[in-house]
Amino acid sequence: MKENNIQSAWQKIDSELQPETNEELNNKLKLKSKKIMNKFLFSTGISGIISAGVIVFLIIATVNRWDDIYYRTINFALGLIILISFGSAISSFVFLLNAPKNIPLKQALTIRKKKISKWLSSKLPYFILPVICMLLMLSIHVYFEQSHFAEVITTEESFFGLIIGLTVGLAVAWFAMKKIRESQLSHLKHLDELFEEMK
Amino acid sequence: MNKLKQEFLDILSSYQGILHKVTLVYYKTKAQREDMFQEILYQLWKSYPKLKKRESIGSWIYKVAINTSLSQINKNKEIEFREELPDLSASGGTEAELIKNEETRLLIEAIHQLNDIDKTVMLLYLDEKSYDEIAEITGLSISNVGVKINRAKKTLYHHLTKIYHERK
Repeated sequence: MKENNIQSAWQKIDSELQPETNEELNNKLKLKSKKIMNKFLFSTGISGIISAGVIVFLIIATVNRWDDIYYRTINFALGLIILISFGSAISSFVFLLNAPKNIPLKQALTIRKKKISKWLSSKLPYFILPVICMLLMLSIHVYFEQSHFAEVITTEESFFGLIIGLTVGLAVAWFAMKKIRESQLSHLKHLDELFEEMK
Repeated sequence: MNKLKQEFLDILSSYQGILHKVTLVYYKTKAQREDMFQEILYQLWKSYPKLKKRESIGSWIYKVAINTSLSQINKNKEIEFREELPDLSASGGTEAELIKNEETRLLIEAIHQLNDIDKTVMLLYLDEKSYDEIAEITGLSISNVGVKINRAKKTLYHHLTKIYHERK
């Protein structure tokens, strides 16, 4: 196929495609908007419900054990970490949803690459998730043992139960972090490939 | 329907060929193309109120369509990897059902074998965009655009020749 033939073969696409009416386009737009809204509500809804549930539990537990200063401190710290983490997760999600598309390709790829590289280089999520997991297990365990924090920690039986629970919880947190990291690394690899192809 | 949306849909109906061509270049199955068509439509609608230069609508559509498609390709690759080989017939068929012209079909098949950036450059070149416009849409320098077009054309001819020989 010669150059002119390639151009003319390409131009034939226009005559073969069935143009859609304004109504059909509008229906597709409505459908997609609905899907994106549902996806947003689902993703933020689940983490929101879990976070709200934990915060409510922490408030109830703290009020019921107001005299236990160690327990109160743990619950305050946990509540604060959860609120900050939730806010930061929502802002990252909104950033990705609203990432500008009406810019040159190279610029768009650079913005995405910077964002993912920044996330991957940050050690904070590796620290935060196990800390949340550990404090949450500690908080729930101490609450249902119905004794003071210091007593629970010093009871041998309770202490070993806590260690086993923490090990399982940390393994789950580590696995979740590993999966998220793998997905982000795959995105970064794809972006690097695109930059390489641009040279 | 409000005035802004009506105006947007009027513009889109005259430029929808770009959306179809972009999805045809990057995606192989009808289901993926349909999903991407809707995604691009949504992204265009989102950025439409901020569009200042109404005279450069074509470039705006190309930019949004290309950026949206390339940002989703990695996700689709992951899906294909998990499902191993995608069943093209089950997911709604390939371009064969959409494009009747044999030469056009072979050309699209050859384009699918290019890398993503070469696909982008060839798409714009075949749509008769100037080097300046291609540079504006891709962010490449004008001299690099020339180099990339020549290189992509050579690779495309190579793939086309290979496909012709396989078909004989």
